[in-house]
Amino acid sequence: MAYTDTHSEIVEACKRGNRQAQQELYSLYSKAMYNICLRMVKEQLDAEDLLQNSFVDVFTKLHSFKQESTIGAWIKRIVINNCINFIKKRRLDLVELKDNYDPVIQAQEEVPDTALNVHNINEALLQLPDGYRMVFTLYLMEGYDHGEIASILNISEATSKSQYSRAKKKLKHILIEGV
Amino acid sequence: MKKDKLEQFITNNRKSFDQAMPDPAIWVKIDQQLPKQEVKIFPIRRFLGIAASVCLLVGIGIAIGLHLASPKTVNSLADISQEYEQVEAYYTNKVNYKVAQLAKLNKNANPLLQKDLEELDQWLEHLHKELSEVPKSNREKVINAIIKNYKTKLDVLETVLDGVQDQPSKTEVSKQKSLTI
Repeated sequence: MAYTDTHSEIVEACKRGNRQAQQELYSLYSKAMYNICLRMVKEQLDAEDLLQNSFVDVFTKLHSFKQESTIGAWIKRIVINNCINFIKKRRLDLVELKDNYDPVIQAQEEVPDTALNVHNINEALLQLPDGYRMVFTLYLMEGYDHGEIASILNISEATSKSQYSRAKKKLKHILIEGV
Repeated sequence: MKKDKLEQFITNNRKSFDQAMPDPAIWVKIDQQLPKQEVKIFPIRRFLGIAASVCLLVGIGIAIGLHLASPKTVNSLADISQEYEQVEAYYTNKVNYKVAQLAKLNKNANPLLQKDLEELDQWLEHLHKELSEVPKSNREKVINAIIKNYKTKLDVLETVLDGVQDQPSKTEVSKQKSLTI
């Protein structure tokens, strides 16, 4: 994408510690990153802390950014890693990622069109267990494939796939039941 | 794997899911946590890069300068003497020719002219001496003064010659007149 080229100047200025450029980079990505944080950790205050710490990390580690990926992808990875570390520390550990099949979800259900809207889905996402929500959002909303999710979450690719399909079923179930 | 309705909806409306706006106060906190102002870390490689470019530019400048200057100024002593020799030979020849011309036409040397020429010769001698003493950079000035000296000498000789050359025609005319008488 031409995206990378347009931001390389800002990135270089940020590397030199130029505060104006840093603020520009922040304003370019803060909204998307904040929403990722919100989906990952649910709580607004936690999401704000994570956004703040992540961007401090971004600016202090920027010298190691080598333009191999887009700056957006690089920042996103830092944000997601921080979110995962936060969740792990919160002790709502990722045990559920191992294999606890939710007996509630059996049949493949379809969500009625009337229930399909952004608000409902956002609310339903918040009701998903942490592990489900992470795999689901990383795959469908952040565009990572199962191989990448496996390495991000330190699980197997097969686990990522099965967790995703379970997360999806659970989400549908919540949407059908009514948020 | 084909996307189902839910997946399709989320993918199609992906941007709408990023609706929350971060509190502007977050940037203020980030700003406070970052090192104050521009950090003037001078990465050695960057510094060397700058130094190298400066060297290169200065080098190019000197090269261009020398190239431009070379036709005008002389670089070596050999060049000086060679070029100078030619100039001097040219003017000496011209002066000697004029002096000979004058001597042929005007047997009685004009004492005033002789004095002027002697003065110019003395000045020329002085300039020659100076040329061997002044630093290289000032040689051009001295050489120019020497050339001026020769030109002045030539001017004087030419003026006198013009005056003298007019006279024979008169004497010839008077001779013719005396003959006709």
